[in-house]
Amino acid sequence: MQAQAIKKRRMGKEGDSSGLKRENLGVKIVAHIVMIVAALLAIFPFIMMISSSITSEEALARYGYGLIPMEVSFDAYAYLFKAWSTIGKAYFITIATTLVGTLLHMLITTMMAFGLAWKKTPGRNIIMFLVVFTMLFNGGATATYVIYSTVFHLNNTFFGLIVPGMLMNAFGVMLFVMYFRSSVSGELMEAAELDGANMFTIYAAIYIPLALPLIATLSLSTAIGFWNDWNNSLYYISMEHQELYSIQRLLKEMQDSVDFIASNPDLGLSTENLPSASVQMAIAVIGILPILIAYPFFQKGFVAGISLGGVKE
Amino acid sequence: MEKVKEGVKSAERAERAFKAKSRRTQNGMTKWKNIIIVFAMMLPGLVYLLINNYMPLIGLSLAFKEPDMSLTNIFNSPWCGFENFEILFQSSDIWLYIRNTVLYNVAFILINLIVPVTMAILFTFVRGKIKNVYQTIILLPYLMSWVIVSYVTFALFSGENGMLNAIITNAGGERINFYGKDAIGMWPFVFIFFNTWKSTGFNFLFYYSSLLSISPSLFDAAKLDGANFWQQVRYITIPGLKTTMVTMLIMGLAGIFRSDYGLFYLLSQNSGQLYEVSQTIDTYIYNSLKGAGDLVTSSAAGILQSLIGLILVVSANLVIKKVDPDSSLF
Amino acid sequence: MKKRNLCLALTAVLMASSLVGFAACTETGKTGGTADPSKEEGDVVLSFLHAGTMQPSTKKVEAAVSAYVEEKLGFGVQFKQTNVFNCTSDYQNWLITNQEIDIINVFTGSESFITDHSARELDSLLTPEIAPYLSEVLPERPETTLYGEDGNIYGVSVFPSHMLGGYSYMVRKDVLERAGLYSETPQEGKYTEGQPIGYEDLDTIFAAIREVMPTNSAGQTVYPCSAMNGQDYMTALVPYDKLGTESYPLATLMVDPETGEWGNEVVNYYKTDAYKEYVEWMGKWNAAGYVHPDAETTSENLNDMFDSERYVGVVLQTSPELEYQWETDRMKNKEGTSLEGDLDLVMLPLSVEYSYLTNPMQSLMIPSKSKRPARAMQFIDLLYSDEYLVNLIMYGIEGEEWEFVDEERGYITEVYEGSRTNNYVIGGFWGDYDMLYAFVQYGVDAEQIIEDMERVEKESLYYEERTLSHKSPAWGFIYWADRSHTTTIRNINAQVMSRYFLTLAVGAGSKGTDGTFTGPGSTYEEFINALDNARIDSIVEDKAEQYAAWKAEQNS
Repeated sequence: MQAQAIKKRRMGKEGDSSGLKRENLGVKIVAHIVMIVAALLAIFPFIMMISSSITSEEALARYGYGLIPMEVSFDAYAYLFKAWSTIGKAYFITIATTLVGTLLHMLITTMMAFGLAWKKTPGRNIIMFLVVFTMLFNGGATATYVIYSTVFHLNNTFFGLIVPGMLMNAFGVMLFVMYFRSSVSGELMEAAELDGANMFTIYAAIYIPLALPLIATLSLSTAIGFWNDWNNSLYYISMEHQELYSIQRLLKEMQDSVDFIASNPDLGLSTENLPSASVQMAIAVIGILPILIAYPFFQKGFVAGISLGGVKE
Repeated sequence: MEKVKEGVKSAERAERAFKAKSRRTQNGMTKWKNIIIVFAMMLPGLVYLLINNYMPLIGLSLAFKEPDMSLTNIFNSPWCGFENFEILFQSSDIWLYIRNTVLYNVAFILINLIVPVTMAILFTFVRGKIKNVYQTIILLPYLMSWVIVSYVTFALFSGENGMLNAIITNAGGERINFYGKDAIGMWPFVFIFFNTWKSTGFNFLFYYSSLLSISPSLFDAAKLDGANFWQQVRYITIPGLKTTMVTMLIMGLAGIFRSDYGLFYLLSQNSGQLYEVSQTIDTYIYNSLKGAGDLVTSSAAGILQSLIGLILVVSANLVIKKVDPDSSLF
Repeated sequence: MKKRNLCLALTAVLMASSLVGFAACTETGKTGGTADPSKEEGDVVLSFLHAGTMQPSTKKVEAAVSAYVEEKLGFGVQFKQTNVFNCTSDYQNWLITNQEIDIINVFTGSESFITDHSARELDSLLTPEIAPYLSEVLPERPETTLYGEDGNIYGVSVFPSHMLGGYSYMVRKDVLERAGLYSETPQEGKYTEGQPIGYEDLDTIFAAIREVMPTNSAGQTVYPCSAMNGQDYMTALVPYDKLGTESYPLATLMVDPETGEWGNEVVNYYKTDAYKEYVEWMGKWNAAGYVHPDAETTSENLNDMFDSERYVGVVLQTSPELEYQWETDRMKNKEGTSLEGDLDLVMLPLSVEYSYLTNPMQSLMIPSKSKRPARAMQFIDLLYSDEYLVNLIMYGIEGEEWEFVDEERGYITEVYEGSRTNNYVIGGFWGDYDMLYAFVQYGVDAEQIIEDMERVEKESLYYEERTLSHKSPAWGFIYWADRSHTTTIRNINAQVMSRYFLTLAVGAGSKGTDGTFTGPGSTYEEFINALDNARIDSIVEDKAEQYAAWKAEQNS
């Protein structure tokens, strides 16, 4: 019996019948083809975007947007970086809001989800319903603004950028609740509680490490949300407080200004040829690149999750 | 393999230790202590829910009011019944918009359940550093705004110097107006394609991270039993992804009357000839409110969208509860 | 079970509290009536518009303005910054949360500010004591005042609001010559400067252009008909009075193309024969390939098209000065194109000149919640009558950001490099309402600008003579739609107009079963049916009623 079991094991290790190996090879090829096609489709517009941002305005007007710049010109970037100190400050604010906001968001969401995943939490179904309800019914931007502005005085404060609408949402809570419920065995939980182990310890020492891949994914999405957000900035930060501008708000203002001048040539506001279309592309590039630069750090989160979870590479 | 063995071993050790301890102490007090701790942990979330979502619910009443801005408190404005909803149903085309919204959303839900999952499964077969490159590139569409994408599609479809028309005329054919009535048949596929293109990158990551959490011992055992690739997928992978898929499904149902206004408005360049397939409830609201600073019509539409979403989510949850109680939400 | 009830109760309490919480209110009621300047206190807060980014010198200007007004009127002024692009939502947010604001510079959506009582009526403030200048000038200029449904004044506008009609097809002389269609003096079969033309003539010219200049020097197709998003041939060829403030003409008064006289009947614009003729011609020209294939969807503008030589003729307002201005503007950066050297346009009028009233484009309004309306009105009055203040607000500090170029005329200033290039220029504040203040960018030829400004003066005189003498009989009539009619109009705009208007305006619609563009089964027919379904008749009737009543009042 034992000999047979050992034999089976060894076969499994080496990759037994050639049939299985061939099948795996087939799947591998398909996987690579699919990935290459997907990657090309994904990167094609991105390349167009970058190339348009370094094309001169005249060439853009004549030939439209293309993959290769007809006439290279860095006018758009030059125009934007005239205001480099303001842009630098805005980057700082955006990085700060993204870091603080993402951290707070993940903490609040995971703790909430943990409570809802535990079978012994009283009223957890009701609370879960209340959470999901918020995903459906929204009081509206006006009412939210009134509450935050008049009751909590968040106008022109740093917290005005991260608190409204961004610190927890039903989607994240739902994801974590489902994940927590299914990923840790019931016996482990029961044993832990009977033992008298602190729930917080269980949360921190067991659930969080197990959920690292999901945490990495969701914090990426949250971080991108904070990075791209200009709604909160628009509502809560007035123009007199430029030091609290996020990068997206600042860039949008610059874009509006360029559009306005370009579309009202008879007002004689400027004699320069403002590169309005390529500025728009340059703005988009500036907005995306930092995320791409930071992305590898999130990928490390995946890797950490992988090794802790014990999945083989 | 060593790491796997270690991981499994340490988990087993922990389990045994806890079980041993549990036989020693059975303290009733700890139950309440734990409940208090858990509520303390949930407290920030609950408070945030109250402040951010429940207090502003008063905004819903605006949909039934005629706003009077000379009052100190706008929520004290006079009631006006269902007048604000009239604009939604005055037009006979509202059913066209509803049809478009729902059909597109159904297609999106289905595709967003199939495509990213498939990609995630395939991705597990990819090895090496190239994985990181793929992951980054796939994410790019998610980061691009619809405005930029609409420039790209315009460069593709433009009648004057669009890429597709250039290919067609070079091959000796007639120029096609892709934004015109003759090309209307292709647009539902265009919308679906671009929606998939944009959201797959991210959904794929979710599913991939869920995949990673499926215990490898299951796969090993299956291989030993001689299961081939398809059987592994059917009996291990899909059930393992079940919870994520259910969440995504419920999310989709909740928003079935909503749509990504940017996708439909910007990609079609709001071309009048394509209205039959490009107009959804949200674009209709936008078109009717252009330039008018109206608070109430959009909140009336929002209430309608929310109601339908609520009904669907609750029904879906009931169904799921019967089929697979573990997966249901509440 | 008990726990469940407890939680349900908790939920109910939560929701009830959120509903009750902010419905409770201490102060209610509206403000109104005559305000007393002596009882008011504090500085006037003015909303200050930027076109994008805020200028660094704004704080300084604020201080200077405040000091000056303190001297003249005894109170200071503060600016509340906002952006042209989101000013409407900013105003709403400020008003909803009861922030201090006394004057709002409303850019779009001024009607909604009146119907939801955001704005205060101003009649009681336009007294000689509070507003010496405006109380005299405003009554004679209905085109510069924003009226509400009740006939009260709600805003003082910045730009005059009459629409000047009368358009010409301005085509490049060199192209006409090449086509053998130009002559210095009136000649059979040829065209000369200022010669009125019709559909047939346009057809001839388009065909000729297509023949002699099918492509430009870069190999791109030249499109003789410049109809596109933003270049509306329709207004030029089917003149009308919109009779209101809607975005699209719906129920209008028509100009008879033969006689050039105004009609008396309020009609559905799209059912008129004039419009049908337009659709037919446009459809033919589009089918012949004279119209840009992306006319409906492109985001390029007229200037780009003309500069890159894809258009050789455009439709502009009839005015020799405007023609000259367009020529000089397009002459810049012309190397490498066939426009290098001289550009001369030939102006061929398409319709008679006329004018009608529409919504004042940008108004200063005083919110109902303002605590010092009289002081606000005093400031507005000063703004309209004091040259020093106007220059201060628009350009900044004299000597630091600008200087007079023409002291005598006073309104031509040179702005230094980097200052106030992004500030939103507000014209017509001082002196003559039709004057748009010009300022010279640093380093630009001031002589040239003075020449241009003289031309602008001539232009306004031209309009005075030609168009204002052809005023619409509805001059001064304001149409006010009640709630259900507003809904109908909105519906029409959202569903029907945004779907069909542009398509038909560029002639891209499909033909009907009888081969015409207005026949059965055509896009035009769909359009008319859609309009009927959306109940355009109720608008036509309502407007006709109000117009008749207003006319009766005028005559009595």
